[in-house]
Amino acid sequence: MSLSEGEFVAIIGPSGCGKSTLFNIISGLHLPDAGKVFIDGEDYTGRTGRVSYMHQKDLLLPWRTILDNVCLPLIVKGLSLKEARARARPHFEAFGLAGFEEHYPAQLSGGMRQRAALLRTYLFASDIMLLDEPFGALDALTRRKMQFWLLSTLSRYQTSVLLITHDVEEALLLADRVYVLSERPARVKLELKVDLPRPRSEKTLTAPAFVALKRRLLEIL
Amino acid sequence: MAAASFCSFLLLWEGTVRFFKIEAWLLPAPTAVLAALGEGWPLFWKHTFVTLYESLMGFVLAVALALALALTMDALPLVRRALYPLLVTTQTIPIISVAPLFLIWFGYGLLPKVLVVVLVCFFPVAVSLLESLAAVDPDLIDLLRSMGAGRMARLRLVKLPAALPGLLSGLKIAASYSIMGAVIGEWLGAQAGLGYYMTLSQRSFATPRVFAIILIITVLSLAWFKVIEIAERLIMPWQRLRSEE
Ligand SMILES: Nc1ncnc2c1ncn2[C@@H]1O[C@H](COP(=O)(O)OP(=O)(O)O)[C@@H](O)[C@H]1O
Ligand SMILES: [Mg+2]
Repeated sequence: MSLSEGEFVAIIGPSGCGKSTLFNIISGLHLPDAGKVFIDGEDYTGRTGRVSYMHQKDLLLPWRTILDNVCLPLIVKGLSLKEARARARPHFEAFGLAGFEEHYPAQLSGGMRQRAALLRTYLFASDIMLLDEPFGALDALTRRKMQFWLLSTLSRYQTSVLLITHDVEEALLLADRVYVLSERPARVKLELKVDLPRPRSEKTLTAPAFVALKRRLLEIL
Repeated sequence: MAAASFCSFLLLWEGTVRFFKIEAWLLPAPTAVLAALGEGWPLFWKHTFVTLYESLMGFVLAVALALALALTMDALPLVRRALYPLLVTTQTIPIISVAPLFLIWFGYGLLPKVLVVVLVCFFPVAVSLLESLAAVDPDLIDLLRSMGAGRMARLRLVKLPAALPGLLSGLKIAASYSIMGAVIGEWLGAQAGLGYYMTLSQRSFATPRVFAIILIITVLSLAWFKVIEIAERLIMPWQRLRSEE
């Protein structure tokens, strides 16, 4: 599997096939039995701290304000709280969190918490992000809104993204390429190029090319 | 509601004592207890101070020891597995049965009382911290690990704050036990303190004084509990938020 610079790649597979495990390996948390992780040609197998990883759960710390939550990766990297806050603040607007800096996670809606988790992920490493079902816990309406929001936000940032999802439409709407995985132990069952024009919008969802790709994915799943 | 039932209980008590003309050395009326308290307050105050001092010393010592042990056990799984059963076993030994030993070993001074308090307070603090450290969401720890955070950073940024509510409930229990620990220590042999004064009053059948001492002990234990509760609210404003929702 590969991910090019600035590319958005989605991974779809049956639940329990090892998608999260794959991310644990790429992020360096787990060691693979076989295979290696290369980033910019360098071996990163079993080394943490290079790529940013957003878990299925938002994992916001209830005792920190939203601002201090998204600052967390910067503090781990050794910045002072003051520097970290100054670095994080300007992004609140783009992530739809302006005005909620001093709120605690318990005071935010599911969608906002997810955006906060995404901002924290972005602040850790903006070049490579692993997103594990980031919108999986949200209701259908909020999820669709978040997908379009992510689409427009990412178009402004130079970020390579690996996204795990179980939502075929989400994969096709967001990604440049889709990997379909088999049952455990997972193999790549299909690699699909999504050559839908950008910028994508609600109209993309009903375009004939989109529908054809969707049919293809649903058939193989 | 609680205040109302408490008041009616006191009234009933007072009425019963007066109606049946029960002797004060057998069961003093609440008013008699208050009178005893008012008459002898300089003495009460002196003994209360001694007990408070012992319980505070013991509490601080116990908390320091418990934190050190719990953090060590949490950091080193081998130590945890070796010591945890031991920790639980020591707790099944009744304090009353070992306290006389302290007397033999350490005499009648301050030390044996402080040690009894340490013994009583240590366990709830150590266990509550240990359990809450172990219960921290492993995904949170993985999140920090994926950011490249080391052991100390994980402890400081996630494990300790996440374990704080559990630790504080352990502290509340320990704080309210600490007065009782000091009193038990004093029962066995002392020259001052509420426990000593209680034995003295009981031997001379000054029952109103005994009741007054019980009242003081209860109020002190409650006050201790409240102090920790207020500290809890100050340290953890987010806890209140969650309950408001
Ligand atoms: N290739 C594999 N070899 C061994 N265990 C695996 C493999 N793939 C997945 N597992 C195990 O299967 C379980 C589910 O994996 P997970 O990555 O959480 O699945 P998913 O995120 O796709 O739902 C985990 O306990 C994981 O350790
Ligand atoms: Mg998963």
